[in-house]
Amino acid sequence: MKDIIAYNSVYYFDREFSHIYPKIKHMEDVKLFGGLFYLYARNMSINDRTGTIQIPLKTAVLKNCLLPEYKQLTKSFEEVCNDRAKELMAHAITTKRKLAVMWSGGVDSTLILTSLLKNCSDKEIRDYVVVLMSQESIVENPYFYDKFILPNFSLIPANNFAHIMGDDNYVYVTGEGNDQLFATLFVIEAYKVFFNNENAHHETLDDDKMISFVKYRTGFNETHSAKLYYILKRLCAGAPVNIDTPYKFFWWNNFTLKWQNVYVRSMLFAHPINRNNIKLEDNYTTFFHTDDFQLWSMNTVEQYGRLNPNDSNKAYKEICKEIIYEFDKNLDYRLNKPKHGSFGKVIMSRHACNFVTEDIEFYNDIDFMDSYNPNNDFK
Amino acid sequence: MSPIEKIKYWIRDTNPQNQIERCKEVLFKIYNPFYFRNNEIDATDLNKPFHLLIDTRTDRVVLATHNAEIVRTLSRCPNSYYFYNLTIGNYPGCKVWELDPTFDCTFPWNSVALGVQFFDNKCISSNDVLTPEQIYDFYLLYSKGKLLNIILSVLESMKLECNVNTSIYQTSIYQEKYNQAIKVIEGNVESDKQNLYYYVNDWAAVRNISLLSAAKDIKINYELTHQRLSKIEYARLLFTDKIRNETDINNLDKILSDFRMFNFGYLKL
Repeated sequence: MKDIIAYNSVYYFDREFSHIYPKIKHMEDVKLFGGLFYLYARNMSINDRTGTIQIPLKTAVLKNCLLPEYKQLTKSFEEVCNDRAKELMAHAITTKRKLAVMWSGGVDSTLILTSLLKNCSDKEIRDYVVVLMSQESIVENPYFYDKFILPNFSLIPANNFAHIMGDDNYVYVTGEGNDQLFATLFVIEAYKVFFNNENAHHETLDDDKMISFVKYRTGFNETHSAKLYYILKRLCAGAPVNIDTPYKFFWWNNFTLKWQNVYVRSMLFAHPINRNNIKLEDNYTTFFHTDDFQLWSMNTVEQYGRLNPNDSNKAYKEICKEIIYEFDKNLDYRLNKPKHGSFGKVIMSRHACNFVTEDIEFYNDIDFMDSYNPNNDFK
Repeated sequence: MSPIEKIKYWIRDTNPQNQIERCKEVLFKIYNPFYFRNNEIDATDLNKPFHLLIDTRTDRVVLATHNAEIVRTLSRCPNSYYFYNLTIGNYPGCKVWELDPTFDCTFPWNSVALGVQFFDNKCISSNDVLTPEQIYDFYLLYSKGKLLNIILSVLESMKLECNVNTSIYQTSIYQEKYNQAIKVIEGNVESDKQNLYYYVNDWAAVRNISLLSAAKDIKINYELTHQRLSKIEYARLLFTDKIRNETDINNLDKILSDFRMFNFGYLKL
């Protein structure tokens, strides 16, 4: 069996749902690593794409998920979006496939459709784009649905996404990855609530405070919390900017550890009929999965301190909302759109595999000891 | 009179025919677990074989009677109930029928079979002592029924959330609207002066959108609802099949856990 590129962490590490965890929690390194999922998100697969941390699982990082070498980027976020929209349309035309865009009504997927509408002709949109959506998408962004989705796009129920992945008539496109460019909001919100301070995430990084936060999130004791924190802090040494605030700490962790997870996690839900035909970056991609987007994030983390409630210009994903607003002129959406995770709604009541390996093979069960990596940093 | 009081009343009725009639009166209430949560029936019939009806949702005794005909009637209920006959305890002066304190409710097949007599629907009058293997099969069957009932209840409530079939007329309207919407989309119809597609026309007027947009709106909403229903149906088939094929009672908890993860897990996390 090849190394794993995506796994369902709940299957191995969840304290509530996993049937495996009770049998492996006596292993100190496994227990410590399992805490990471309680710090960030219980259903994710962590892979360090910088190669700094060895985790207790035999995992591999895909070539196209490796961290790009840092360099200065002069393009604006909007320019990067425009380039990506043109690139995807060109790919669709060349391969005679339709771009199947998952639209949840949220900022990321609305930005994709906005970029396509701005950069492609009506004919191209009509012939080469279909939108996958659900009733929740309409509720999330009814204005965009009425004004732009209905008149311009062919529509398919989002539930079909499992069949569309790997279907050579389509290029499956999602808005995954944008959260990682801007840091994960939920853990930062939890940090602010824990310290009862709206600006806590912009204060100077304090080891003791971070350890107490890790302790609170993971339920570990002081020693284990500190050990886990210092493992994560090692990651920060390789960052292109000085990681001197909790915001940047969480951003970098998310950007490096979760990037591959969000890139491949949809695949876990692919229907067996097509899943062996999934070809990464050919009929399967995410809009934000380019070097330019990543470089933009690395270049602007100082500039876009983001998430400052006293400065609306630095609100979460404000720059994305600005681009959408310039196009649809919907002020209400720009000012009031809250953050919702949409992935969970799409995958509800959906059968998933628990593992995907480097050679895009799917497994429901892998014996933990077969995937265990004893040479890890969590010992 | 509360349902519980009614049951107490008919248990004590000496006329078997009346008992059955009253049983039918309150039967639908017995189906509803909410009526019985935190309620126990005090029924202490003496000197008779004692039939206990167990609500498998709550593992509570909901009926205790010596009348085999009542038990037989109730045994036509869905799988949510099982019953067994206990012949334990012999006190001076009278026989008292009660649960043996050593009886292992979790693993009944580990108990001494001689003290416990199980009956299924077909052999209610039989006094044959079952072997531990038979008890295991019996218990497995009813545990599976219990699990299936839990899962189907959840799925049923999800179907109700879709709320599409308010009436058969409304269902036919949705269907015809969908058919018209398909024709508008396939024909790329931009205006309909003859009002051939009246449902789509009306919807376009209500929403103040173009005919084609209205058709797309009708089509996608129809398909979304039915796709959601199809996911629920898929879950029903999948888990019914899993439960049907399961032969190890120890795996039933895992099936329930899988269902929770399948249905809610990712949302909860």
